[in-house]
Amino acid sequence: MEQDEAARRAKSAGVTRLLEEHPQSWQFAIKSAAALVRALPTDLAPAEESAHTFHVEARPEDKR
Amino acid sequence: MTDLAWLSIADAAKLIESRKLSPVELTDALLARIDRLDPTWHAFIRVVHERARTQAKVAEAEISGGQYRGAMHGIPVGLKDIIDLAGYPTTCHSKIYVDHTAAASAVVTTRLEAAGAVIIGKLSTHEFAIGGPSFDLPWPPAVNPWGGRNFPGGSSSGSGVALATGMLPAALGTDTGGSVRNPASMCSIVGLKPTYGRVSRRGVFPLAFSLDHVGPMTRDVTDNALLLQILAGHDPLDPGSADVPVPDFSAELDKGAKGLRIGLVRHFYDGDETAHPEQIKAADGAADLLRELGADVREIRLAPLQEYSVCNRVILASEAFSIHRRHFAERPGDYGALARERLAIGAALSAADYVDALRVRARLVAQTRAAMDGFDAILTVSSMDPPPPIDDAEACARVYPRQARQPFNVTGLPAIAIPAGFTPDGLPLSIQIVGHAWQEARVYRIARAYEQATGWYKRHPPGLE
Repeated sequence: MEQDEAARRAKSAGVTRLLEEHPQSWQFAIKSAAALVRALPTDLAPAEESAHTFHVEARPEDKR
Repeated sequence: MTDLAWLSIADAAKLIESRKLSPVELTDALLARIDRLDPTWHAFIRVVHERARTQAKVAEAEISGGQYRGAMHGIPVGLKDIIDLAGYPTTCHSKIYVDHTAAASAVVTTRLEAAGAVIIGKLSTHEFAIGGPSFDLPWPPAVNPWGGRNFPGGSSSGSGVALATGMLPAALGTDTGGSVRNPASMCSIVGLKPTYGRVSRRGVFPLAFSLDHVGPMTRDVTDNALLLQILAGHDPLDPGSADVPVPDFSAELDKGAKGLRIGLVRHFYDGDETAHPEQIKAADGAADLLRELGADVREIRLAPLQEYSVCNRVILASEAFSIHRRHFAERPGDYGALARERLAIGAALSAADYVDALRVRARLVAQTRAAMDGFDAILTVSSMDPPPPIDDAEACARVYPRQARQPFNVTGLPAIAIPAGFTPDGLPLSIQIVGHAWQEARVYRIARAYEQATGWYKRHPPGLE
């Protein structure tokens, strides 16, 4: 990855000090993250929801 | 008197209840052993000698007065040092939290103390349960006594080592991608990751909220069930805690494996990954033995191991970075190199990557449930390899991710790692048994049947017997 792109991503993630002081850690992270993203399945259907679904709690008066 | 160092919880409890063994005698014996051995094995961050003696004296007085509280009364226990003990630092084995004193005890600590357990100290971990084994932290990493100076697994490394060296009969660990079961496998002890939501995580420093579990670590299956009995229960203030009944986890222990249906997930260790030949032999041998014991063991297929693994890792990295981002922005140099590298992965993932992993998780949960339909449990490996030398960073990095534990963090199912023999060089091997949600008692039943038939749990590291 280009250094400019790495710097842009680090700034976006709020870890500019990490890039400045530990560039090897940041490069490792970027490579690892890219490998993980490549390994994620790409055949998710639009209706396949997240495992963490938002639930609205029912109030006592809403329960029969 | 039996050697106190290797006394099981169950045996110690019988002796304590009948007043043939004093909690003070047991605590003092283990404290002396810790003082002698721990400078070599580094299981502890902190030993709370006087506090432990005081608790043991209180237990002794209560029992003498006829107020016996149950199996954990007067039993020494250690806490992984991401679990709060009021008034003491929870360091997370990190420079970042070196002075971070807990204002209150974790729910699991409180439950142990209510049962009369004696807290002995805080145990080594990988930094923040993610970065290790590391030699650039304020404390050295725990060392596995099996085979010399080996990697004890992690991140609950001190818990595994304290049990394997006879310094403690019981310890707590945490498991987000396998961190109870990894040291259990590497140290030839027993570690259970309960069903997600079975044990409160309040007062435990999080690694990844939706994957974190607290689990009991012991030297045998019977003890593990006794310890889980104390830990389990609904906590309305832990968002992940489930309001489900807590059964008697020891109820099925002596029922044997006869008549049970067990799915052997062989493709995890001889297909998706290729485990060490001795580990393959141990897992296949466990399947044969369970058949001999009367179980119906058949090979089944789950999704490829790598799908669970990548799902676990994306969720873990994303949630962990969210937890650490402030410290990461301000003091990245105060993390050890391994934690810094692993936590930074979350900064390099996008929101869409995280949501995709959560959607994959829902799919994997459904697929796993369908594949387990008609079976009581799953049998597979835990680690693919025996422990490497702890000083060999390359070997540790290679072995660490070669495992079959992450599927059960992703699905939240209860999973236990138990000893399954040794390589010709004397290095521990293990198997993993996985049950349906909330069926820990069934998992214990199968594990106990195997344990009784093999007796591997009775062995101790050479030189420490």
